[in-house]
Amino acid sequence: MKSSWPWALPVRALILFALLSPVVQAGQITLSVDDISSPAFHAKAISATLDGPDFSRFEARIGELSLRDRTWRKVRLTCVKTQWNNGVIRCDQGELDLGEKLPIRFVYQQQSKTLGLTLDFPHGETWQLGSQWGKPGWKVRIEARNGQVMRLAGFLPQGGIRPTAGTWSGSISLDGSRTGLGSVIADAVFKDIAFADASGLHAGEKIGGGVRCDASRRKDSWLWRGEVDWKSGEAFWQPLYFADGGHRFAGQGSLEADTLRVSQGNLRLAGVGEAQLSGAWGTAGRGLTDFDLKAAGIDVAGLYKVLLKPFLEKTAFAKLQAKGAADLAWLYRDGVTTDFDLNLRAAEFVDEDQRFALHGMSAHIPWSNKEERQAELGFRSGEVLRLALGETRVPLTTRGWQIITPDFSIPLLDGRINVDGFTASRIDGAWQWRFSGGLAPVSMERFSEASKLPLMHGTLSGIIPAVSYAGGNLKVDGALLFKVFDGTVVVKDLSLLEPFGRVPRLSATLDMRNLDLDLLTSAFSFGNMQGRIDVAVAGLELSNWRPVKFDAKVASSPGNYPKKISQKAVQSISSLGGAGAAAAIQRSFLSFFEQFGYDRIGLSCVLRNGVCMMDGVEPAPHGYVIVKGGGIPAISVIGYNREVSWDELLERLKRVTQKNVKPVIQ
Amino acid sequence: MYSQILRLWMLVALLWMPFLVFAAADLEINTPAIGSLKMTMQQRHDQLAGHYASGAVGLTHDGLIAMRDAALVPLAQRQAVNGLVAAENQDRQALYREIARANGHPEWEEEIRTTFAQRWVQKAASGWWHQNHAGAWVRK
Amino acid sequence: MRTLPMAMAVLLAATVSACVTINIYFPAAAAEKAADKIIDEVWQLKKQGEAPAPAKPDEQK
Repeated sequence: MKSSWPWALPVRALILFALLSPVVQAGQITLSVDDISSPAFHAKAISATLDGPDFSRFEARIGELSLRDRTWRKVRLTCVKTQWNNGVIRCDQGELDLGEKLPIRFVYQQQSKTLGLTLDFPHGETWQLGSQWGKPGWKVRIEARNGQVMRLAGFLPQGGIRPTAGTWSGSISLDGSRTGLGSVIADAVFKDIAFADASGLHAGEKIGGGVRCDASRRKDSWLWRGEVDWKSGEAFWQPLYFADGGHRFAGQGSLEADTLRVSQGNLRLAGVGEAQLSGAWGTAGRGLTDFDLKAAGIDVAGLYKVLLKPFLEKTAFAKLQAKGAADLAWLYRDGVTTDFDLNLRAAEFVDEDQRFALHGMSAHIPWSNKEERQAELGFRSGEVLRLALGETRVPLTTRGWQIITPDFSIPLLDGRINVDGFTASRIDGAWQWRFSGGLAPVSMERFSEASKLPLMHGTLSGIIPAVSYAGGNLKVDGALLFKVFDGTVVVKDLSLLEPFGRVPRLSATLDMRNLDLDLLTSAFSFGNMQGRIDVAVAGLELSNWRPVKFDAKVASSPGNYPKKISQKAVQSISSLGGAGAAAAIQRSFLSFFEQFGYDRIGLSCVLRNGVCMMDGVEPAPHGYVIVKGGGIPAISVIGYNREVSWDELLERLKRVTQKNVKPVIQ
Repeated sequence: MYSQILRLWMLVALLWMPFLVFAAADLEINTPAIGSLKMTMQQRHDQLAGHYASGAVGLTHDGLIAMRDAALVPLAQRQAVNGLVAAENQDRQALYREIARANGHPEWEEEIRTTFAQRWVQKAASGWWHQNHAGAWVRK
Repeated sequence: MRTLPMAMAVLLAATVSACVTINIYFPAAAAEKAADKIIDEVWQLKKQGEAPAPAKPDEQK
């Protein structure tokens, strides 16, 4: 701001010519100066000649003219009909040669020390410069009509943002005295402006709008007032993208040695809302140090789309449908957030990948980095992995980056998840949290329906011991206990590595006891079996939710209970060993019987590198016994394949269960 | 003389060693995680191929990709391309990690990345941009 | 002169066991092969005809 407008400097040069007393030589006046130099301006080998009748021919040459980073060589100003009248120098038809030849007009009044200069470029582009140099002060006014902003590119610092196209019309007035610049008033309209930095990560195209600004000096600081109206055009300011205009900023403030202050500002972003703000921007690379922001009635949809989404690209919130309204008050001091108060009303967040959804969400979150605050958030309904969540309200206590909640529960299907002793904290920028709790009975019918699993019966309930999340990993200490199929399921050593990453990994140990085969087989249309089984899965590892490794074993539970296996179930089991075995049963005498007795069932699978190594209850010649017969009529099923590809086995299981699909009537 | 034969044997044996070692193992790359990474990368490649060809995006010397010249992408798509680059890099990092893990040697991740870095460049179409060892962009 | 075959056997055994220990080093050639296979798939560099068969181990009858 302090350095005067670049165009003001050649003016000084012109004035110098006028002020110096010329050397007169028979009808010709020649004047020469070796060097004129100032920090931003440099001219070498200057000469001026006046000749012709009444000295009407004027010619000035500058060998080398530098203005900031721009340099012109062999600059020439000629005027064929210069008029000299009562201390007025007037040139109506001059020519300025700056590499391209431009028509120039100027008038200089010696008495008032005023200069008026007009440059006419092709296509209706005009730049005008007026200046007056008086005793108390000076004035410079630059006006342009369709002025190409490209002409200013050379005066901007290297490596920053450069205009590449566009025009401006308007005026800039500078006032000053011997002590320097005193005030600046600018009023300009821009059209089709394009700008970009070298990396292309900050760029704009076809931008139209206006800037109005006036600033005046008070001792060591400047007071300014201005408004920027961005009416049209697109801009990309990594990672933000604004597709169109409609944005406006108006404000006032001050500019001190190294700080730009906004004491009162109003920012309107199209599609998002309006905010009152104030703040301080440290030049010299300190960036935004302080601000206060107050906004009411922000459109959450626009806020998410324009301002939040680009920053959430790598998170689970990268693809949301957002709705609702929000009020925000935000205090930021010395580079950190000290207080904020967020009010969210009637908001909705729906994941486009259908992983989760929250409807009718509201929140009131006051927050302070020093003091304790009471917050509350809640939603009317929601969904996680297709499981419906009911109305939930959670009071929160925040102490800086630490959050504590009293025990609360979230309705899940027809049951509920109880969350006890939830605490979360942010340490070194990473969140960690933990809680314990339980799952109050959820009917398996509802659960299987919602998860698009085959219809299962019974209830799902359990105790959730300590669940903790830190460093991107989710860990369950202790054992998760569920009751399903009239038996128990215990999940131990459960841990999830990078659950929100690209390749979530899960490891666990499962121990299921006394599962009712009748309930289980009817759920999966496997063919009816009666009895009870234990399932043990040790060292289960899932990568991207698909098993890569486990040692699984299915075996009849100890104890006395009826043991029956239907012909269809025998076929299903046999089909797992390949198509041939099932056909063999079909053809044999066994097809006369509907049900058989058995003594023991057992099948194990050790999965490694996509291959399942199978075994049964006991060895058989060249194979292993899967179903050991007992009672009348008895049946034994013997497997001969020890190694089956896991994918193939899944394929067979799918075929078996699908072939038998029919409604299950309980 | 026997000692000479013995030495010859040793030499032969030593010469064969690398072959024995390298012929011994094919790396395991058929895990479900690697499979799904390959699939998403393959789908994403349809969107990225044009940007490799235009020079907007190039292959880095550490087995990832980077925005080389954003100005070659229309403004409205720049953030989308940034997103593609970020997603691709996440997948590539995960891929190198998964291959190392699947073979029971998580510490191989860096060497697998280095190997991939060379192979991506080797297999890149001519006209695509990649970084040389010094990190400078060169056109293939 | 039975010592020579014996020595050879011992040497061979030593070589083989040496191989096993060396095997913990990074298998560069195998990694390159794996990388090529994955890159071909991701960039779809192989024509349809050469497309590798679906990655399924042989079905065991």
